[in-house]
Amino acid sequence: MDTLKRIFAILCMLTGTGMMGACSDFLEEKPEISTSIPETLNDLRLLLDDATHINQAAPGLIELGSDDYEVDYTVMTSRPLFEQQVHLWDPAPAFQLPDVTLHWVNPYQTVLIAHVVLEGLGRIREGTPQERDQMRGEALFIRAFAYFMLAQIYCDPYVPGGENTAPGIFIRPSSDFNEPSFRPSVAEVYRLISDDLKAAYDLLPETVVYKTRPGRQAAAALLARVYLAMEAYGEALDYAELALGYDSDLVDFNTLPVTTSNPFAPMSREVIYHAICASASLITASRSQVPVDLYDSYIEGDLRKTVYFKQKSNGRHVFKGGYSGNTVIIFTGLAIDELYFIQAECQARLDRPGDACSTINHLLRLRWEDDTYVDFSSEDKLEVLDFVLKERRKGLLFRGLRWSDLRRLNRDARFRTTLVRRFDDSDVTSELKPNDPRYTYLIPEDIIRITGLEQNKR
Amino acid sequence: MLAGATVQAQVTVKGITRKPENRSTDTVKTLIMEEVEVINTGYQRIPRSRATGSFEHIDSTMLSRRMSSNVLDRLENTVPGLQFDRRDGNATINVRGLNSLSTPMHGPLIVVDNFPFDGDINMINPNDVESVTVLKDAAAASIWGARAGNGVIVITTRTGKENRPLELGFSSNHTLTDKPDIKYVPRMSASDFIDVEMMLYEKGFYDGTLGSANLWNYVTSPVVDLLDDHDKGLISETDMHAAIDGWRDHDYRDELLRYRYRKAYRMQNSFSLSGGGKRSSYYFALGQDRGLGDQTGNTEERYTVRSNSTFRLRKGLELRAQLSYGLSRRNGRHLPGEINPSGGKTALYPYAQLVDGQGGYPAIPYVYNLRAMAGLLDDRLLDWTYNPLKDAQTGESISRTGHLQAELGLRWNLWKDIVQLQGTYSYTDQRSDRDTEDDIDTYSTRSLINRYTIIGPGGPEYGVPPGSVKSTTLQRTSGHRGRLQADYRQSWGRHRADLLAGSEISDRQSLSDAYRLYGFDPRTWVHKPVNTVDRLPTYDNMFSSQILPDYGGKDRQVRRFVSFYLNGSYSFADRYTVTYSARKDASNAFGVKANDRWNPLWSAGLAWHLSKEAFLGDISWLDDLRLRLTTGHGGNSGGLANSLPLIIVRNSTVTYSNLPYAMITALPNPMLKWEDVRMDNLGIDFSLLRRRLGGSVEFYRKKSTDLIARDPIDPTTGAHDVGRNVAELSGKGVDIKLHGNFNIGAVQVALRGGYSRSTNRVEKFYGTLAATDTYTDDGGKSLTPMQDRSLYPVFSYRFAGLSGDAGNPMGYLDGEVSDDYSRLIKDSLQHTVYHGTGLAPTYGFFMPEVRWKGFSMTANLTYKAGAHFLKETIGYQDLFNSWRTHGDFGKRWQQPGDESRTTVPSMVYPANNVRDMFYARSEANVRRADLLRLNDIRLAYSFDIGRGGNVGCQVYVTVNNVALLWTANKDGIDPDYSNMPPARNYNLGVKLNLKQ
Repeated sequence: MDTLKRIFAILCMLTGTGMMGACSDFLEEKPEISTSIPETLNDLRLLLDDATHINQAAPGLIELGSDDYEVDYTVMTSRPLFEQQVHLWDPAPAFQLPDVTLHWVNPYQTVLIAHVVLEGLGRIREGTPQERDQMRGEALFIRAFAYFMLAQIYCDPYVPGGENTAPGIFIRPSSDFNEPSFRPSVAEVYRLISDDLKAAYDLLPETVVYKTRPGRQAAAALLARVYLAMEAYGEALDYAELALGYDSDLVDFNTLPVTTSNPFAPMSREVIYHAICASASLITASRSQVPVDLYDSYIEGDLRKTVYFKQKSNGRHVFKGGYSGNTVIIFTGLAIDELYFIQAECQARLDRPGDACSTINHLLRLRWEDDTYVDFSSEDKLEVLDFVLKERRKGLLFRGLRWSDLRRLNRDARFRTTLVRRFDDSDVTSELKPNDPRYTYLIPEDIIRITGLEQNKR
Repeated sequence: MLAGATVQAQVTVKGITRKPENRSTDTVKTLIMEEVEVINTGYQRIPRSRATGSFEHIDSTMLSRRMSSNVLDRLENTVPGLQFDRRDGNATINVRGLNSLSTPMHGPLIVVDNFPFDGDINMINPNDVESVTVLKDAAAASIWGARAGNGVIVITTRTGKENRPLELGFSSNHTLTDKPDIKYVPRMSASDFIDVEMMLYEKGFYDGTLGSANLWNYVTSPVVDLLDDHDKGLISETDMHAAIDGWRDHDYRDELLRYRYRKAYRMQNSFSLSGGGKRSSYYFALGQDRGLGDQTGNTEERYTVRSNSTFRLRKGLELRAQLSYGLSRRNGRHLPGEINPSGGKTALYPYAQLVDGQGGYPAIPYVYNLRAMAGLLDDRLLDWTYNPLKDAQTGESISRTGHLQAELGLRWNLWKDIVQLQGTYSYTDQRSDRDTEDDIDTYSTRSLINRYTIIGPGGPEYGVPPGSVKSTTLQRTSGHRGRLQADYRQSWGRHRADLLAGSEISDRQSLSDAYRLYGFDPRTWVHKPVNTVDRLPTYDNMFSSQILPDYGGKDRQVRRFVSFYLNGSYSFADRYTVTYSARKDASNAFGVKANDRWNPLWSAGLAWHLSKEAFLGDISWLDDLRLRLTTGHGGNSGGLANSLPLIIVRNSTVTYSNLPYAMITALPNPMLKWEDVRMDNLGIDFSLLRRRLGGSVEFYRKKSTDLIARDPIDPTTGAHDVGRNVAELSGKGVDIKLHGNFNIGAVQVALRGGYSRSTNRVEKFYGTLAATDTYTDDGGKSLTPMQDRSLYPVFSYRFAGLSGDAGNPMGYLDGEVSDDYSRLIKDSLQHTVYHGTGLAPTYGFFMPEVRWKGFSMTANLTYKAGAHFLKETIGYQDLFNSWRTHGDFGKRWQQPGDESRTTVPSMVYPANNVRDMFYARSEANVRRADLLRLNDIRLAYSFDIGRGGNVGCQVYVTVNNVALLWTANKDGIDPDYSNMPPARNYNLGVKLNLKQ
């Protein structure tokens, strides 16, 4: 073969490609101009701006089990079986391939992007410390956000003061698919999320140009949301106030074009961080409606009655007030109004009913017709808390929060509710009792089969 | 196979009959000696007698049997071991099954003359093709490299010959094609569809949609609209029923057939000129094709010119120059045979009215619900209605392709005739552009303009300026290829050695460029700028505010290869031949480390010309007998053994922020190993009884290890699957070719036939098993490696019939009859039925030919056996929600007792998509794909005219796609095609050949 190699070498020279080295240079050319391995900081920047896989990847299960919407039986039964099962709180909905994609793979693609960026930052040496910090912060933030969403769906709620040893969500160690996923405890999952977010807060910039990218306010706002879910009200209050320190301006609903079908433009004034859920197709404007008692709880003078809702030809009302700004009605991102609700609730819970009242009044005043809102006031802590929680539901519907709130509030005998699905056009009913194991969805069977990890309890 | 050439040579030389009836057998024999079959591997031309590998040679007579504008189509059903797989709608040419699953293109490598062809193969005029050689065994890859893992097809164009008088050729061919059978897939009748709609209306199915605040976003059918109007008291019961009943016998596809489709016509003319002097030879040809497509307004044209010439500059130095140019142009819009109205639907209701009685085009529901929008629309907006027939007449769409190929070769006789050096350079440039002008009458333009129109105090304000929308896509592919080769050729005594070694380098770049202009004025070619940066308000805020999508951009692809190759053969006493070939090539494929780039391939072969041995010499009935044996190794890197992820930077911006972005397209995959493919071939060529009977039998065996396939992984990683080395595959097969010819008086009969069998089995599978419903998905159209199964496995759910009480489809769960569909579809794969493969393992052709005087009549019959397919059926969820229908609806279970007559489940309300899916993928819908087809019949008459008979003439008539004579299924389905089979066509042609 040596002779052969020599002949090759001679021929290589003859064809003008020179020695093997020159051949190698010739073969280094990228086959596709647009495809590459992430090798510059800008490549990482571009990955972090992939809004489709980061800001629009929320799983629909975050809202589909909630009691903020109803559908007609005829509408429900025209949908795929999985959606019907989820709507009726079936103990074991049968995930089909598209359902696995929407409710499992999509949020984990966000996690993959975070890992590719974090690993890329370890390899790529260029860039100013500020740029690198920002990207590391964004990566930690988007991973924590995705994990938090998943934790509201696929693992048991965090019990304050408890051991929280139940299996948590699936965690990915890196972007390498050869490394197996694992399920740490619920406690560790929440520790991971809050640690990442605190680190992200330190790394992220004070202000952002695009609301599809997180800044410090977004990190603090998400920390407030996470601590609220953990019932750590002190921390939740601290972070809500920290976030409000950056920007606390609310929109006066009197200035909005109330009758249009999309009163809010995307990334409007109150939005801190833009994220939407486009995978809850049962809750589109044409299929769903809000429960009558929920709609009726907005009384005369409350502008949200027209800003948030539109009447259907059957007389019922459908939600149209999403901060997503288009036909997708579920906004799952972070907004300033949510911070006020967190602040008010924490103040009430931490024995500061007066502060809670003034916080909630400040917000509601801007939701009502000018000079019609009558301030709420009470010294009774429980009464204030009850008022704040009711207003929280009315202010934050279709925001990917109700399911998480139900899981949290059900632990408190004072606020627990039993959910019921009933239909005008059918006798079918279904009931979901507080703290039912069905508040934690089963992991898709295909995932359990491939990974061999533990399934959730039934 | 040598005798194969005999039959051809006997009748036709260069495609034109030269009084065969006058020739004695002896003249025929002399002719045979002249016309030795030469195989062109692309690197060298070798006589068949010294070849050891599996090569198929298709000469010009065979190629001119079938008229088509694409030369590859003419190979179908003429060569054993070559199968056209059209099950996914495109023709993938398959040579002896597949060896590698990872090659981006599963089809064979196409070589024209000396180099792989870049561009559109339609730009080669089949009249310029002299012959085609198909390389089927390990030699293919060891000569042509890794891209040839699934075979090579070498197309050789015509050349002139030295010292030949001028020869003029002219041919003209006319083809008329029947209207396409757009009603091939059985659909529900309008009457059935209307009954379903009325039932659904009754049940309140449409209440949600009709009551929706966004009704304008959902299309509803005229029947539902009428029922709704009736409920609201807007129309009387009698009027409603009268209107509805008027639609019951309608089928909009009839209107399409009548008003849009027509018989396609194509004319192909060609003219050629060839000959040669003492030191030069030339071939020059012109081709003109013009056609009227199968839809009104569709036209196509192609012009080709080719010049192949050689010059002997001085003794021992030869220059070869080739130049070809082709230009094609297609015009007109294409309207599919089944219309998709969107707005939540995927198919159109069958009773859609596309024309009214008065020559008008009524609107059909399309994208939006115009009835619901009616109150919302300002009359200053453009018309927002749609009619497919009318829309197909608006604007224009033109695509043009120009293909240039130039080749220059220099051959230098270095030392006597023993050592030669040759260099070849080839340049290809293909430019195509596609120009679509959607004028102001085109629906898409009107809709876009309306979407961004605001009615201000001063009248309409336009976000998209009124005028045409002009979209242009330009594509340019240019390739440079160079080759340097040394040949050594020597005979001494009874020895003969042939050696060649060389290197090759190639560089191909593809650039594309696309842009769109708005407010374009076709009269002045002036356009208006638009704002693609800011959010624009939409009409009545119906679509909120939106960024106008920016269309266009540039892209580039580069493919580079460097290769070294060596090829040698040694013959002793014309009886024993040994061959060896080896090749190493490297490409600029992604993520492959420099050390792993070089892909070594080799093959070795042995041939024994048995009939030349003394001990067989005296068997009088044996004319020729040869034994051939080859073995070889190939491999494939699988492309991506990257240790880092791959990302693709998108040419557009992301929805909300309008920022550029990138996506992850491949996970890091450093563990990926090379595939290894080993192939052995044993061939016997024979000719008996004074060449009356001849043929070849070839056996082959393949073993692929570390086969790369998409393998399911934990989707938590962010991906459903990844390329992994998952399997070992073994394959074996046989290709048999036979031909015989005998005379009955003045009638000559020639019979040719081919038989192929190719089977494979996954010996080891160490990948991950995916969920069962991913395997029952497509009825054997995907490769899907699986332990002990063939590639393209067909799986289905066991079917226990319909339940007697309700007509529910039943399956088996844990051995018990069950209708728990969610569990049934996910049940373990071992409980499903495995039917075998989806790609026919057995297939062949038969071509009889009868000649009498100047007349000849031939036909081509093909058969396929052993495969299965999954037929389409009715799904009620799709019917209710998407208007997708199927004729099986008429066979559905309707009352107890029907379960003995049908397998089609009852229609249930509400529909259950999992029940539909279970039935659609159950064994009740799997059919055998066996078939017998009459492809074509050809009648030709050849005669000589002119002074001394120096003009050879041939007149012929051909019918193609004659009939599917028999299929194993009783549903009238042609299993070779996923949708409708091609329409029958009729050819009439004449050829003239003038010799001085």
